[in-house]
Order: sequence, then C-alpha cells, then structure tokens
Amino acid sequence: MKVVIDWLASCGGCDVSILDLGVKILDVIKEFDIVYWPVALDFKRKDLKSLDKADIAIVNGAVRTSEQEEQVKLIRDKVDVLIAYGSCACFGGIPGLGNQFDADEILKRAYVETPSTTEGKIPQPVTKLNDTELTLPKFLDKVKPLDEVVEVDYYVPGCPPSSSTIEEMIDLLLKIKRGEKPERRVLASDKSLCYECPRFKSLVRPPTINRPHEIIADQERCFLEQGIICLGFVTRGGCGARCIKANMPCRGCYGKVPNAVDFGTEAITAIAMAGTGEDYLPPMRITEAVDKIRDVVGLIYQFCLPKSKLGDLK
Amino acid sequence: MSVGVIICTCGNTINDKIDIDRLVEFAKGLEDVSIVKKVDIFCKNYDQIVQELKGKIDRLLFVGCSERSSLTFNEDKIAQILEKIGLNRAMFEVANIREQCAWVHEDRDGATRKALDQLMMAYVKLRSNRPAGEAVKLEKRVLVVGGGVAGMQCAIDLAKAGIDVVLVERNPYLGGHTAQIPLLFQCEGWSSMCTSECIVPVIARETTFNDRIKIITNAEVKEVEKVNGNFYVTIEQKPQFVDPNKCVSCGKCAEVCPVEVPNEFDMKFGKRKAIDKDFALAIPDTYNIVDEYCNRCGECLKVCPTNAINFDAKPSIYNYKFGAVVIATGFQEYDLSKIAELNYAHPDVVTSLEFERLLTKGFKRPSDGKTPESLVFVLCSGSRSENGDGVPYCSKICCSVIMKLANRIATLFPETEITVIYRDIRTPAKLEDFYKMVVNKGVEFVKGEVDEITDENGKLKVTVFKEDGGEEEIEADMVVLAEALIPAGVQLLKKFGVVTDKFGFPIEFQPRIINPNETYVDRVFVVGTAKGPSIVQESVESGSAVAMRIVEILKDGEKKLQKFVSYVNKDLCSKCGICASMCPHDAIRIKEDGAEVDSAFCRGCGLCMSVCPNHAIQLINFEDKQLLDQVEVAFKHAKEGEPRILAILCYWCSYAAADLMGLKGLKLPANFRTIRIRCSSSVNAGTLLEILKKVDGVLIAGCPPKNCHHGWGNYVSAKRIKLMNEAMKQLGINPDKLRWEYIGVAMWGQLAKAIKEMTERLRS
Repeated sequence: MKVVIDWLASCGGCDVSILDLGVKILDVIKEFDIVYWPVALDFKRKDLKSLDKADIAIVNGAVRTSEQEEQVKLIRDKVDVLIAYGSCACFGGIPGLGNQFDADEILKRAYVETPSTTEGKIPQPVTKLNDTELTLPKFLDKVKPLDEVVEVDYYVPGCPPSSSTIEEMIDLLLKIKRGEKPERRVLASDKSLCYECPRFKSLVRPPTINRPHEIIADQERCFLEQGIICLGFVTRGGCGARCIKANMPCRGCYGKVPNAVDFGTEAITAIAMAGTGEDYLPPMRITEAVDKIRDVVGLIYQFCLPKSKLGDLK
Repeated sequence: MSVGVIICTCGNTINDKIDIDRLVEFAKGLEDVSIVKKVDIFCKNYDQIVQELKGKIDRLLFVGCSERSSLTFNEDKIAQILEKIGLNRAMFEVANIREQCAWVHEDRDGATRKALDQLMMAYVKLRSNRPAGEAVKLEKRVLVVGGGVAGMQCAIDLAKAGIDVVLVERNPYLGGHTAQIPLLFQCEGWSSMCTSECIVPVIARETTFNDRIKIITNAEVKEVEKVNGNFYVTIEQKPQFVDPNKCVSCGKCAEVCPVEVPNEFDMKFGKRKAIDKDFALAIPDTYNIVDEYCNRCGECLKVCPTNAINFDAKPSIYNYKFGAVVIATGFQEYDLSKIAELNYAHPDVVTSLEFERLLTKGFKRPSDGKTPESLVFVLCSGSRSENGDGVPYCSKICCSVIMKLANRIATLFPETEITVIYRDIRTPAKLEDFYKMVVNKGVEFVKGEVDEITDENGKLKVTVFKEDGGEEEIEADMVVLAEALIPAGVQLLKKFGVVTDKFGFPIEFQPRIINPNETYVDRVFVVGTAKGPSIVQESVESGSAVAMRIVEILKDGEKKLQKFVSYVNKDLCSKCGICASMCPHDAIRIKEDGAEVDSAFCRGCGLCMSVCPNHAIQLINFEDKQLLDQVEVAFKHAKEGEPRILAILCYWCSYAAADLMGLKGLKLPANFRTIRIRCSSSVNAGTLLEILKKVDGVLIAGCPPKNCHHGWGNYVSAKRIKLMNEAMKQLGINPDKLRWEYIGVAMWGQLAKAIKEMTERLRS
C-alpha cells in the first residue's frame, strides 16, 4: 500500500511528530510503502507527478499559496484516501490567523514595515532578471484548510497530533489496508478535553482573568477557575491532556467539540463568565475582568480562524 | 396538534393600527390551527370561549396585549385560563400586538406586517413547546438551622400550621444572642423594653412543647445533598453526656464538680463548672458537660439523683429529608482585635455584647472590679469603615443599643461621666426615643473618630479626631465599643449553595423587594440577623413571615415544575462543569455520567444552556432551535430596504421596557422584532452567531446592574457582547450589528433610543 506524506503551509512540526514515533515508525514502513515524503526523503515534485497512483495521503499544513493549492489537488487526484494531518491542515492552524488581513497587508507588513527592514520590497510573482523570468507561487488572499480545496476523508488534529493520536492514525491506516472504511472521521474524542482532564474543580466562576505571567498556576486545579484561560472546555479531547499535565492551559489545537457552532464564539460564551463582585463595581468597570484580553481573535481562534463562522459574517 | 388562536382587538382599539382581519385570515391558513377567534375584550369576556375551546385544542396562541405587562391579561391570568381550558401550563404563547406593535408604530402597514411576523414567531415556538413536567414531591418537613428567636418563631408558626420541623442549634440551649441581652427593645412610640429572661423562656418553651418540632441542640449540619427537589441533610449532635430525659437540673453535679471553665454565654466575664447549665433559665432545662475541660473525675456521677450522666455517650447522627430550609444562624461580632487603634486587647475595653453580660454581674470594670467613674462608648467600631478595617456597612442596631446601655448607666449610676464618640447617630424610627432620653440625661456626645485608645498609668485615654478638625483626649475608666455585626453562618450557606454578598449575607432573590428572605436557592430562606443586622422584634417578624411563605409552598406536598427548566443530553456532556459554575441557583450537579439538573431547583434562567460549548444543556421551551425557528420567520413580512433588527430582551426588565415604550406613547419605525428570552444571558454566543447570519442587527438587553434576577446574567451578557464586538472589529465586521444594553423596566426611553440608533447606523 502506497503512502504519500506532504507538507504545505506548515512549520514542519507535523513531520517531526511522525518521526517522533521512534522505532514504531519501522512498523509503518513494514506495512506501507512511503512513495513521497519530501521532508524526510529526497523527493521532488516530479516524483509525485510521475506517480501513477497511491493509496493514502497524509498532508499537513494549510493552503497559503497557489503552489500549495495545486499540490494538494494533485495529491487528491493520486490517492483514494486523504488525511488532513495537524491543525493547519484541519482548520488553518496558526497560519490561519493571517486571515485577519488580506494578502497585500501581510506582504507589506512582512517585507516592508517590520522595524528591522530597510528599503523593503514585496516579492513579485514574476521577476525579470537579465533575460530570465523568475516566478514565485502566488500568495493567496486567504489561508484555507485542506477541505476548502479538496475533499478530505479523515482529520487528525493537533499541533502537532499527540503520539496517541498518531497511533490511532496508524490503526486507521491498517484498517484501510484491510479494506475497511472506518466511519469515525475525526481522530479525536467527541468529548471535550475537560472529560479527560485530571485537574479538580470547585465549580465556581473564574474570579477574574489572569494573564499567564501574572500568577503561578496551581498544578492541581482547573485553569479556568484560576482565571487562566484554558480552552479545554470547547476543544476535543484525545490529546492525552499533554499541555495540561505540563501546567499549560489548552489553546484548542484539536478543534471544536462536535456540537459547537463555532470554536471562537463558544469560547467567548464561557470566558465571559469571568468576574466577581460586579455588583460593587461602577457600571463602567463591570467588564474589566475580560477587558484584560489583548487579542481576542488570537485567543479564541488560535488554530481555527479560517473555520470561524464569525468571520463568515463579513 | 390542534392550535387555538385568539385574536383580541382590545375593544376595537387595535384595529386602527393593525389590519386585524388580515391577521385572522393569516392565522386560519396556518397548519394545525383548528380554531381562530376574533374577540373584542377577551380579558373581560372569556368564559364562553373557554367553554368552546375545552377539549378542542391542545395549544393556545393569544394575539393581543403583552403577557409581561398587560394589567388585565398577563401570564398569570393566562395560566388561570389554561387551567380552565384544561391545557398544560407550557402550552401557550403570546403574540404581543398591542404594547409592542399597535401602540408603538404609527404606520399601519408596517405595524400589520410586524404583527403578522410576531404572530408567526409565537406560532412556530408554540408548535415546538413541550409540556411542563410532572410535579415533584416535596417532603413536608422543614429544617431550621439556628435556635435563636427568629428560628424558634419560624419553627413554632410552621408547626402550628401542621408542618414538621427539625430545629438544629449549635449551643446546648435555645435563645441565641437574645438570651445574652438582658433588656430588649420594644417600641410603640415610647421607649420601652422587655427582658429576655421572660421572652426567651416563653418562646423556647413553646418551641419545646410542640410535638411537631424536633429540637437537636449541640449539633450542626454536616452534609447537604439536594435530590429531586428535596434536601437530604446529615446532622451531627455532640455526645449528650447528660441525658436530658433524666436530668432534673437539681445542680448537685455542678456543686461537686472541681473544674471551673470559662462560660462562653457570659462572654469573658463568667465561669461555670465543667458540668453545669450555661445560664439558669436555659432551655432545654438540662445540664451539660464541656467535653474539652471535663477530667472525668466522676464526682458528678456519685451525686446525680437520676443517673443522668454517662461519660460514654457517643455523637449522634441524624438524617432527614426536607422540603424547605430556614437559615437562622444569626450574627457574630466582628473581631475588633483586627483594629489596632481600638486597643481591644485591653481588659477594660469591651464590646457592647460583652458589656451587656458584664452588667449582669454589676457595673464593675474587668481589670480591677472597681465601678468606673467615666465611661466612653465608641460607635461604629468596625462598621462603616472606609479603610478596610472592619466592614463598610452600617450595623444598623448599634447606635440604639449604645443609647439603651448609656441610658441604663446614666439612670443607675448618675455620677458616671459618660461620653459617646460618634460619626452619626442612627436610631431609626421609634428607637429615636432612646437617643432623646440619653441626650436629656446629659450624656456628652463627641463627633469624630477614634485615633487611638491608650493606657496611661491605669487610666484609659481615648484620642478623638473631631469632625471640626480639633483633637480631643478623653479619659475613661472603661471603654465600650459598638462592634460591627457580621454573619455567622457563611459556611452553612455554602453547603446549601446560597449566593452571598461579599460579607457573607445571602443575596435575596430579585426583585428582593417582593421576595424578602428568599435566597437564590429555591426554598432556602434566611431569617433574623443571618440576613442582616436587626433588632430582636424584627428577627421574630421575619421568622413568622417566612413560615407563612413555606406553609404556602409545602401545603400540597409538591412543587409544580415551571414551564422553563433545563435538561442535559448526557451523550453530549463532557463534564466540564461550566454549567454548574454558571448556575446561580445551585441546581446542577456533576455526576459520574455527566451534568444533571434538578428540575425542582432550576429557576429556568438558561445561564447553563448559554455556556455549554457543546449544547448539551437545553432550556425546555427556550431551546436554541426554537429561538432560531423564530428568527427564521421574524422578518418574513418586513418591508424591504430597512435594517432588520432583532431585539432579544430579558424576561423581566427589558421586555417590560419594550412594552412601556408603547404605553408611554413613543413611536418607532416598525423594522424591529422582539423575542422575550429568560435572561439576557441565556443565549449562547454560537447561537447568536447563527442569528446574526439571518438579520441585520441584534440588540440584547438585560436588567440593569445590581438587578439581574439570576445573579450575574446581565454582567456575563455584557462581557460576552463586548468580547464579540472586539472580535468582530478585529475581523473587519461591523460591530454595530451586535449591541448590548442594560435596560430596566423604567428605561423604555433608552431602549427606544438604542433601537433608533442601531437602525440609523445599520442603514448607512
């Protein structure tokens, strides 16, 4: 069975996460023939093009450029099963935050306006150098998760997916190899992270919102109740609560729980609970607990802005 | 399904503004509508129609005046009509075409279009309404915690009305602080007092003799579990070393007991024996042993004529089920040692309650037993504090108490130089007479604040910053501080899930003015000084008042569930517990298999529904889907070209304000529609988002600050919209599409202004 692994707009962490499987990866190689994996092995695009057919593609990263768009379409054409691997592929991920701005704004910021740039120049799709024409892929106006470009069969969320999720994916690959078509399309829990979170709760509203540097988090107690925004309540579990166990609040890389309308707005609903003693505050100060949040969109859509339904209102 | 539609013309006054016949025709064309009646003054002539509808319909749609604000036909009246027709109380909806349509719009076409939409919105919701659930059985037994006068009065009145009561008292005796205060105010326009040595035995005997009242002294509430609307309470009673059924209070045991211990009843001024009575008139009339001091010498065993003493007694555990709970845990004195300048550690500086007890032993100062020649009273000791030492509120009764005490000393020991240091004198209502008496007796009043109280060679010196800017030093043999009063039962309130203010006094259910003594937890009441400082007479009053409320609640031994209660789909629940932390009424428990709402404690505010990220909790008859269905049809008849604004208004304040816009004669364009929701905070932001896709603008309004019926619903809503607006701005979406307002009933003008402003902004 032939497997294609590729990366698009991605940091490379997803590929590393696969390599992080360690010796287990040998089992994968035993069962599957990796016919394309440019990060790990020396493949070029022509190798992909020349492929007649493969069975499964595992693609990480979002679609940011015209080249990536072309690439994922090409892959889709070659395989029976396409797996969106990692938060960027599933929801747009961190690069997706770029969707707050249009392409020109981003390029201008990156190549002209940054404080360390002098006489910056925005890279052009076509540049003439002597007699040669150099071309660059087009920087698209928006970051797109894979399923906005091609049909996606399975989603493996995570930034990057945790080792237990990857093991589940290998399981999935083996099932596909056996000719099965598992119905569970998202390789994460249908329950939120809270369901598997080991921390205890007193079932009280967060008295305020503390920015991470403001307090030392209690390692045993629910982050949210300490006033540290943890998005575990709106995020699918299945990651093994690895951040939580390292005393870091959840940022939502596994995406929204299945019945939530939208990650960000559902997150807002509960974040707005924060506060205490509002009865004693003058009206202008009532919202002060949440006024501390500096970048609302960056917080509530850290991994999924391209999937935001709020953004659709535009 | 068979829907009956009644369209009332309000005595043909609505017809001018709305094409009623068009509404009638429209209603006739709706699926499952079996009867459409056009009536003139339904509120005054409904008998015949009710007869006609009986057995023919299973849902009623009333099209007419506001179910919230109509003075003749509001939801309470509708509930009566439903009962007459034989319909479940959830099976009605109202399309408000009078207050919020005919009265507030001038353009007949626009008003008619809006009336059609409001009718349709009510209709789609009515179709998916679910019947209110079966009644929940309530135990006809009441727990009263605290055997002071308020608790006892409440217990007596309940018992007389045929309700069983368990009265739990921490002390070995009944009477609480009242028993410690020899002279109690009773005021009928003149200053008079009565003695607790009469009052307490009278009320305590009445409590004790009533067979319906089970008194458990020396006990406290250990655990509380709320199940199916009832309270399952575990009460632990300390070992009863002296059997009250055998003890005849002969006192022989105390005579022979070699161990002297401080008597807490007398504050720091008295001693008792390890086996003794706390005070002679204590009820139950039995001796008791202070366990931590008794050395088990056995002398008492030898002399007890009834063999009442048993050193091996064990603690007793009682488990009861209750249908209602009364918290009567009283007050405690603020710890004045926290305020350094008052020098409370000095033996001759005492609190007023300590002074009450001291006087029963004679007017002698604690340090050397001499009768003081000069006495200083310091009012506001810990009360009305602005700097955090003490509490910021006025403890209400202390001025009067000090006047009573000053008057007593001035009368019995006229040579004593008495000075009262005060900021203001607050002797309310009839208690003013006590103040006048003291003034007439020549007591000196110094207006100012105490800087320090020092001991200068055995004489106390009180330094006062006077209000006029000067400083005065007053010498005193003794100082009495009017201590601030703070609640005593804070931990207990927590066990019952009661929301308190930041001092620990329970917050009463809004509107507090007409729900006094009722906490945010259904059927948990608070009486006496547990609710806030009060004189004894007022405490007794509150005990009686609450008993009456409970009698009404428990008379049928069941609670009819309201139309709106939350329920959980456990398959979708992840046990994150956010619903439970949001619930102001302590109606949600997180069980092994998911969150669970106790319907009989649920007040149907929907705050839980709004915060559930996975929409596992829904408020019956206010489900997300019902809301979205309404939105779907809200602007079906609206004129093109005008911004479609949906006003989502809270059940209590804001919807009433919308009614008053019309009543007060304001005129608005007919481009907005209203939905009455439970609490401004019952709409989840995800659902809001879905709504925003279908309309041009959403206005959410809830009760003004400090007035939310569900504790913090309005605040959470304000924060939610603020965050949404912030995110919208960041994403380049016009934030004017979503607006929050605090709108109280009387803020109809503000509501109209907000709607107009939104219309203007969204138009451009």
